[in-house]
Order: sequence, then C-alpha cells, then structure tokens
Amino acid sequence: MTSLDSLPKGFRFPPTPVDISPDWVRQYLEATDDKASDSDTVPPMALAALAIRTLLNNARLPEGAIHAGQELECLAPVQAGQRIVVAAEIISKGERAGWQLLTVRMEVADGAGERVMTGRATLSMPVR
Amino acid sequence: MAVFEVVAGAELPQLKREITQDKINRYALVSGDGNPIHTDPEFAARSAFEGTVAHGMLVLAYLSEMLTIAFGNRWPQSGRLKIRFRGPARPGDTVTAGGKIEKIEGGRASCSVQCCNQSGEVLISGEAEINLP
Repeated sequence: MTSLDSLPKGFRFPPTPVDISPDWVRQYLEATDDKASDSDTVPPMALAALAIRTLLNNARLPEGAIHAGQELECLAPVQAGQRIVVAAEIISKGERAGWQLLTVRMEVADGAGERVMTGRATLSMPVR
Repeated sequence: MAVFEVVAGAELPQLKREITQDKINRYALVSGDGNPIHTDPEFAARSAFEGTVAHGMLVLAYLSEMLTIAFGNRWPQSGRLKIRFRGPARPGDTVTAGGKIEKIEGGRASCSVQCCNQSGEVLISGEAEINLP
C-alpha cells in the first residue's frame, strides 16, 4: 500500500461510503468509556475516527508518524445505522527540522450528499 | 441541555478517565488503528516513547464526552474544535478533560479546552465553539 508521505499535495482520496452500524457505535462507546452520549447519535470523535480509518485504508502511515493536530466542525448529527461518505485531500505538505508536516482535509457527507462534518488532520513524520 | 451556568468565565465540568492497556487495545480494535506504538509493548519500548501510548483520538474522545456533558446535543450538532496533541497519554495515567468559557458572542460559546495527566502535563489543548440556544 502507498505510504501517505509519498503522496503529493493536492492528492484526493476517492469518496468512500461507510455504513455505521449500531453495533459499531455501541462498541465505540464502550471502548471510549463514553457514558454521556446516547447510542443513537454517532459521537463527533467516532465520525472523525471513521474518517481517518477510511483514509488509512487507502494509504498507510509511515513508521514514526504522529497525529499532531485535529480540527473539526460538526454540521449535522449522524444517527447510528446511517450511511456516510468520506472524502479527503492532502492540502499541505512541508518540512521543518527533519519532520514532514502533512495536512489532510476530510469531508463527511450523509447518504444524500449533505455535509455532516468537515475536518483537518495534521500529521508529522520523520523525513525519509 | 447544559448542566452548568453558561456564562463567560465558567469552568466546564471536568471528566476523569484512567488509561489502561486494555482500553488502548479495545480502541485499536474499534478504530482500526493497530499501530504497534499503541498495542505492542516490545515494539513501543524501542520507540522514542519508550512504551505504549494511547491513541490521540482516544484521549480526544474524553474531551468530546466532556463537551457533551457540558452542552448536550448542541456539541455534536453544531460544535467546532481545533486542538493540538502536545504529549502522550500512557497506561496508568489519569486523564482530566476540562475547559473554560472564554467568551459568548454571536450566539456561540468560545471555550478553551484541554486534557492533562495526573502530573498536570498538558496532553491536548485547543479551542471549542458551540452554538447556544
């Protein structure tokens, strides 16, 4: 699989549909000890985690990569059982002090194409 | 519905969670992030972290839960978050998520937010905004 750091700025990952099963949401809530969220609504960080997982199904993280920062904006609640579509693009790529900094913009839409979340993940990894 | 008084200067209700290797392993399974830095003690011992560390997104989930406790469904419906991961959380750590309402303007609450470990070291810091009724 292609390493994320070998992809150029402007690279777009293909929109990928993901069905969020109620069982997965329940497992996520258990894994994160989340006692505040109801199991019908997908927590924002679960959506973000799914978006990142979808991204990493297309390109692997190089060894030593660190998740340096995260931005997200919630636009609409997502219900368990709903289908989402995750799209992503590498929007910046640079180097600083022996580390490569890479920012990926992610957009999550519902099955009708309406955006439900946008976000940016900043990753840093040793320059190879 | 908020469970505290939503005014500028108010502290957000704190949330404490213990990090264990079992919790990290469960998060690795559910998130699909099986990076050995999180799950393989022998591999992680040879890394710069000198041991396994929790996924940043697991610690961030605690901060998100804290915002849900503070603001209810307004957080997943209208929230914005911008954070930096500043340090690793390790098995045995107790993470405290908290924050403060810095200002209320234009129908939105702007908050500083953070997660710290039991030594007060900042693991995550940043800003959150939530629409108010």
